[in-house]
Amino acid sequence: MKNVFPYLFLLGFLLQSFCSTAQNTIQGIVLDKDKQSPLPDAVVILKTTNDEEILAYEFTDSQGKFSKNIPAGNDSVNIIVSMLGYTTQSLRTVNKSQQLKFLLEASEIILKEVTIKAPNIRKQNDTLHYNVAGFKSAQDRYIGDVLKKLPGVEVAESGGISYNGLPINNFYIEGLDLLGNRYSLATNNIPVDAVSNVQVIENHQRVQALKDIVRSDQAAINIKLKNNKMIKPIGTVDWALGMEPFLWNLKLFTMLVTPKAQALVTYKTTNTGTDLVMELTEHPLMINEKKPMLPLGLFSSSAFSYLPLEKNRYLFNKTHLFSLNNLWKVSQSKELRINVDYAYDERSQEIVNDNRYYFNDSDSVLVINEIDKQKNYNNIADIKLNYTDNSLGHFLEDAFKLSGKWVTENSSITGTNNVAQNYSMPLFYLENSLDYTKRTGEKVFKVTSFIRYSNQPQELTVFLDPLVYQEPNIRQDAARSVFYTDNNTSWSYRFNSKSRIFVDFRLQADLEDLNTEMNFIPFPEKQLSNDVRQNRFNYIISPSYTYNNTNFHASFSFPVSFADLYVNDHILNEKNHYNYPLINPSLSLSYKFSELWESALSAGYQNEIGDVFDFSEGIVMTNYRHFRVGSGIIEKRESQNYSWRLAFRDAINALFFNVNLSYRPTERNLLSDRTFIDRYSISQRQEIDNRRDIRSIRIHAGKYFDYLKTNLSLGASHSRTDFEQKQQNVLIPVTNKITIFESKIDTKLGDWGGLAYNGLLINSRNRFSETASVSLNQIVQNFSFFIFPAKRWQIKLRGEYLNNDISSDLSKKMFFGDIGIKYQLKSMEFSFDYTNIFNQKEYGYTSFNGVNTYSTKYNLRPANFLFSMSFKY
Amino acid sequence: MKHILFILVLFNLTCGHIHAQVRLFDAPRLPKDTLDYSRIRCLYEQSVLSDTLISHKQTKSIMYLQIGNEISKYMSFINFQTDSLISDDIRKGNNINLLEAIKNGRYQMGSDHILLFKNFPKYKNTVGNRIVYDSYIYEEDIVTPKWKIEKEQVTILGYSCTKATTRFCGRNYTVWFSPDIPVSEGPWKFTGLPGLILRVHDDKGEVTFECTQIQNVGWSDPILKSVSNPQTIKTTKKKFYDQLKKYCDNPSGFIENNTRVTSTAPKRILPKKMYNPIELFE
Repeated sequence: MKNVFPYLFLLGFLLQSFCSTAQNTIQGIVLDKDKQSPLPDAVVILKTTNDEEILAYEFTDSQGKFSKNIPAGNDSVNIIVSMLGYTTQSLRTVNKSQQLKFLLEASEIILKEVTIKAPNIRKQNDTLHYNVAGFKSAQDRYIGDVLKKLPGVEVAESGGISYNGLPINNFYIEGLDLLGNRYSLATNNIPVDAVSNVQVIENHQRVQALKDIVRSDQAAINIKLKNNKMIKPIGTVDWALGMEPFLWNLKLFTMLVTPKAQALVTYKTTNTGTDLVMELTEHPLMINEKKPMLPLGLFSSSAFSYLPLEKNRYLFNKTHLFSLNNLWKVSQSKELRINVDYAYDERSQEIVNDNRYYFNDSDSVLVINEIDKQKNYNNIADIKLNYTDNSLGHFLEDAFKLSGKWVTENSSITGTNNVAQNYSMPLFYLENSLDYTKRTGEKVFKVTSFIRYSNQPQELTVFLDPLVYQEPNIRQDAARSVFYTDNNTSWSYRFNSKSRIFVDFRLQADLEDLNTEMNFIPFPEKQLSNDVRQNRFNYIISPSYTYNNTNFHASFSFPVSFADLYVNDHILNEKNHYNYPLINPSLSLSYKFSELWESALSAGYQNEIGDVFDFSEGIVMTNYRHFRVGSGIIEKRESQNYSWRLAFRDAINALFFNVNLSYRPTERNLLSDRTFIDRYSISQRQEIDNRRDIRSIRIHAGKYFDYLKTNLSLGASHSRTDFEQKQQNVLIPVTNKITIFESKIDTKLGDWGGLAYNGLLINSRNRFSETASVSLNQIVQNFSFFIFPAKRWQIKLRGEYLNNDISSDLSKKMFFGDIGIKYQLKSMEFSFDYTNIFNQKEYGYTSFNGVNTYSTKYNLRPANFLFSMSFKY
Repeated sequence: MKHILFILVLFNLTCGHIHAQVRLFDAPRLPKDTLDYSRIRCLYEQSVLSDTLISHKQTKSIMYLQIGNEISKYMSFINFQTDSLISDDIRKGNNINLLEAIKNGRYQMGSDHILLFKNFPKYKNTVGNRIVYDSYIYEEDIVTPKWKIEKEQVTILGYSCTKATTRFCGRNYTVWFSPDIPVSEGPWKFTGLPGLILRVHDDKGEVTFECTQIQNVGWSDPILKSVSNPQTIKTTKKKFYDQLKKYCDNPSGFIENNTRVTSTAPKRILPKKMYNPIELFE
């Protein structure tokens, strides 16, 4: 008998979803409060909770009674009862059949405007409206500060936004897509005062012609500006000066939003540790669309690592950023957009490394201790042109991009080794993507074409200290050029109101040249250079089937591809031709149990082959002590992926919850063997069948407590990776587990203050034999306390506590403190910040990569102060 | 007499029967003639296409709506003022010299002669109107338009208004009403929305009403029966519009044959008028 309850529970949900098409009857009586007499001819209006739409209206009869049917589509309604000579009453209630009683109070003022306090979140069909005023605290400056606090919305360290566990697929400002995937430019710059609402549009499909055909699980975000912040330009001017060392910060930002055009222009420069280049991050938008990745750098410079710490504590930078974004709405459906970005970024870092490499089942250890002084210089320039014609009948988009990135890095290393390295790692590319969709009735025809040419003329020079080493300096030139194109046409037919098939023909071509050349290597038997040309063609036919019901969606696709690969090694004078048939079937199901619960399941099988590096049989230096050699054998990967997702969202009670489970086993035929010779290590791929299993679970919950003015967000994740690693000719099975707990609380204590807390606990466990296992904890806790002692004054106290395990018996505790004071006028703001008052000088942590551990110490910015002034219009 | 007729024809207005020996007016007296007390008073600019030949001539009138607890009254503001003056003059026992009064501008006439009492008698409307010199009065059943409420909103006179559409009296109308003024009222015969209608226009642009003023009445402001004319012809809606059509088709002939006014003026052939009342029959 006990087992029946879950089914009843489920049945309840099903019934609820069936009921949702029904009508609800709202009945009631309207009485004079004092006389308790019925009020005839009172006006009763049933509105959506945002007051935008009148669902129904009725007048009371002679007994003061009313009764009205309304559709059950909205989850709650506002009932407004008014009568001339009485105070208007409004009631927000759940949309269900019910009996209500209204007692109206006689009032003198007859024509009084009714104002209802806007609820913080309201739901209207597929759109959630977050009232920014309800979530904003006095200390928030940009819209990004508020986005972080919206229940259901998560903002990653990179600035990427997710809604209920899935990344957003579009970011709009007043309905127009001005920034594309670089939306951090908006979240970090648009003043929060300019925004009235943040809308989350669920299941957003931006191609209008595909709206009821191709369903999306992802949501889009739309920023609604206040009426008086449109038509005329708005902007901010900020500057700041400080010590120690000499600090500056200048920021100019202006934005103009009109119904026909939008513009956003900004110039910023700073050396205070604010990461401006992050604003140019291209956030991934479509999770289901696989855009080809940009070719990776040929060298592995230690580059720049992000620490779980406020960036302005450890980032030593000098940055200029300019961004110009313009959008014109040419006609109702046509938009033209241009985005120009330029950034110059200089970073320096001093790192103390303690790297331990374990051999022979951890019996012997190679320890490398070194101090690495790095300097990075980045120049990034991009131009993007975008034309979109998005109407119900067709969709046309052409996106052109020209991009250049010049990265140079100098590092000088002392300690176990005494060397200097100069990297020059430019990357240029040019790409165009054309997308055309035509819809005729229920038939859809689609053509897409993507072309990219990229070039990486890179260089690495290693200078060896002549007093220590006899060997000459090593110089390596490397160049990789890739021409990639992906063309596809697809047809879709509907064969009944719910089912549809798609047939997709695709041709991909990947033409690559890889050249590397070194003047000298310490291993005489290895080949010094590579000159490989790889031409790869994929012919793919992909039939797929979709089923769409109101609550149930299914899709199954079965791509069959034929990979044709020509490899020409000019040095070995070998020409090879390979071909492989590959299948990549996938299935996805999603079911909406009710207005609140939704679940999705997906499974897939991927069959892939490796890249040009498999054929680079000459040696490639990736840094001064690490080399890589290809095997001449092509890598074959077979992977499966299974994922399950459960999402809950109750907008009325501001409760959001999601669970994501995934399992991804991969089998490959190649495994890298890392061998240490002297102070060098070489990774060479060998033909060994091996397997890597990744399992992960991720839970996130967000709740806004209206009466406490508090937003709470809790997250937990656990992932386990099992794989095999080969080092010094020994095969070692490794299990790596990472558990993360995260909590965020943001509360308004009243008019006088607010509190924010972030807590993060990371536990990583690594096991690489029966006996050898390490478990390390990393704890980060952040407290911010805001006090508003008087009107216009704001005091900020901030504490950051860290406790990092460096090894199993050694941990490093740190406490940071910051103080800030701010004086605000209507359009001016003055602030004084004293950062790192305890003058903490270094930060350390330990990480794993299989059997090896890397302990790293970073230098931090000393105690510093900054005086800033900002002006907004 | 000739002179009077000349003036009347010139202004294309009529102001009642003009036999000097007849008791001209019956002024309303309190409290018997007070039908209700107004709570809200509004002014509307009413504009009706009256001639497509003369560059789409719109006849504009300032209309006055008094909204009481149960009854509302809608009429030309000029006529309302004239009514008040005449009532006042009658009450004071002043000798009413209509000709003089019109000539010297004391009495003025509006361009629309409708007099509309909504919900008087109960559940009916009383409509008064004039064709040339004759006053007609009839009762009709209240017909509430079937409204379709839309999402769009605009602000009119500082009130947030919602859009509603209907087909009513032979025309397709779009109206904007404000739920913040909880009276189911509007200009002319418009009613039935959960708020006062502040703007009306039909799809052809022939008829528009735009609220120009809303007044909150905090004193005792009676809604009076209009200055009544004993010669007023009781009729039905259909008959009234039949008469109007006849007049428009042949104004001179109509004046000759149908009105009770005898004119000594030389006969003039008046051009045909456009028959375009606000209310059309489908």
